[in-house]
Amino acid sequence: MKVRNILIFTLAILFASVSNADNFKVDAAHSTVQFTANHLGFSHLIGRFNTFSGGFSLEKNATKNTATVSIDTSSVDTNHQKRDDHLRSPDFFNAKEFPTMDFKSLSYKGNAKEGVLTGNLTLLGVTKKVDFKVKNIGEGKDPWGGYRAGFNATATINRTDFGMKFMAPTIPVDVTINLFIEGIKQ
Amino acid sequence: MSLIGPTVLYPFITALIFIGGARVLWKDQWETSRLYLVGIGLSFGFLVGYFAINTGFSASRISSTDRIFFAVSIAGLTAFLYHIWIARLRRFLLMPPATLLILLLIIQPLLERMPLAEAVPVITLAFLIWRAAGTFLTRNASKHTSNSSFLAMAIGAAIIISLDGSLLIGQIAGALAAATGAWWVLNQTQNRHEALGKASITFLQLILGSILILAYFYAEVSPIALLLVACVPFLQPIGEHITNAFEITAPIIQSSIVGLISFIPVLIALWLIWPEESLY
Repeated sequence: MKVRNILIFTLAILFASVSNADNFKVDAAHSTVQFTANHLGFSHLIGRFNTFSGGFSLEKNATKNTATVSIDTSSVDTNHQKRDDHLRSPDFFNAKEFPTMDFKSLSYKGNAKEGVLTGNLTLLGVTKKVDFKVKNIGEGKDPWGGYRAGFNATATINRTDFGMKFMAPTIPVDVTINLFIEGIKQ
Repeated sequence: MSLIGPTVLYPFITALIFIGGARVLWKDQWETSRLYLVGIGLSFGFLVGYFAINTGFSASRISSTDRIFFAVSIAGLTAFLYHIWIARLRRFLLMPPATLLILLLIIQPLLERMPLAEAVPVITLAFLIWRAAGTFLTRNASKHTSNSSFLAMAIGAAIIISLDGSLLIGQIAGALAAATGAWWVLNQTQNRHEALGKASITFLQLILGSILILAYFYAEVSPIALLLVACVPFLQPIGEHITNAFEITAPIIQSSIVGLISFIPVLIALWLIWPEESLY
């Protein structure tokens, strides 16, 4: 039993040294998850989700970069309480039945500065592939001795693809998701 | 039109064609079979409306609103089995298991997500109101005015839920109201006026009760407004007293007055929840 444990431990150290990944945890206090929808062709309505978590890993070979984000759908905030209550209802996010919206990356095409992150987005129990355009905003040591990296990721989804059909197309079906993510290296 | 079609027209026309057609086709057996045929027609009308509202099911897995679809399917199937299975025991063999199945189907996801401390009083209160209103309606089920009272409750539920929480759940209640409306209209076109019948009332009441609970839990519709909607059947005798006092005997006028008086709690609920401004 002891020999097996030592073997597993050695292999784990070996794999860890081979992967060369820098793992970051999302700093929610300095990150934003926004969405934008057109309002009757006159303007754009911007909303955000106040509670989310996630992480990303940056590899020397950027095509191996990965990211995951989990968003609490009940934290939707459009600066209008009654509308937010409605957005949490089964007409939109059905937050009690589907409490999170999750993204898990599958592949990354590009370099360390910018690229396209493709992954599975799960909303209302429906999983679809989504391409996020990713841009590195900055990276480096922070004043407290930590190491941080920040990205902007943008994608446009058709909400009806995920079963969110309420008043489509009167209320536009295309919604742009805009993430400003700052991560702290672990 | 995109809302009126699936919510009102499709379920109304489907139920109208089915029940009207059945009345012509099974003219000789109508007296003995009408309660089941009306039940099947109402279920069928609702299911067509549901599919048109939701354009199929809502998500990759069955959501709570989709469970209403299956609940009505069970109600319709039970009515169909009643129709083909002519045995005296059918009532006891079909009704309690079907009722229990519908209850479990609706309550199970709520129990999974609602804290028990909230679930027990909400479901108990809803069940007590359902029993009281159901007993009240079935006691009066032989009267054709019970149709007006149920119709007022379903229309009221559709309006209140749509305005205060979820248009989707409100539309589902609307489809049930529209299907029932078809039977109400057909009833006015014949000399002898017929009631919905105890079995139909029990199932319809159960389905509408489930919609009200869904609206409370998932769309956070005002519980006071929902309680007011649930109280609608209790105004049926008041409407009848008024029509009797004024010696109104014409069935269509009597039905309409009972329906309008039953609608009073809905108007109070509407006043309570009326939105101050447009959200979109």
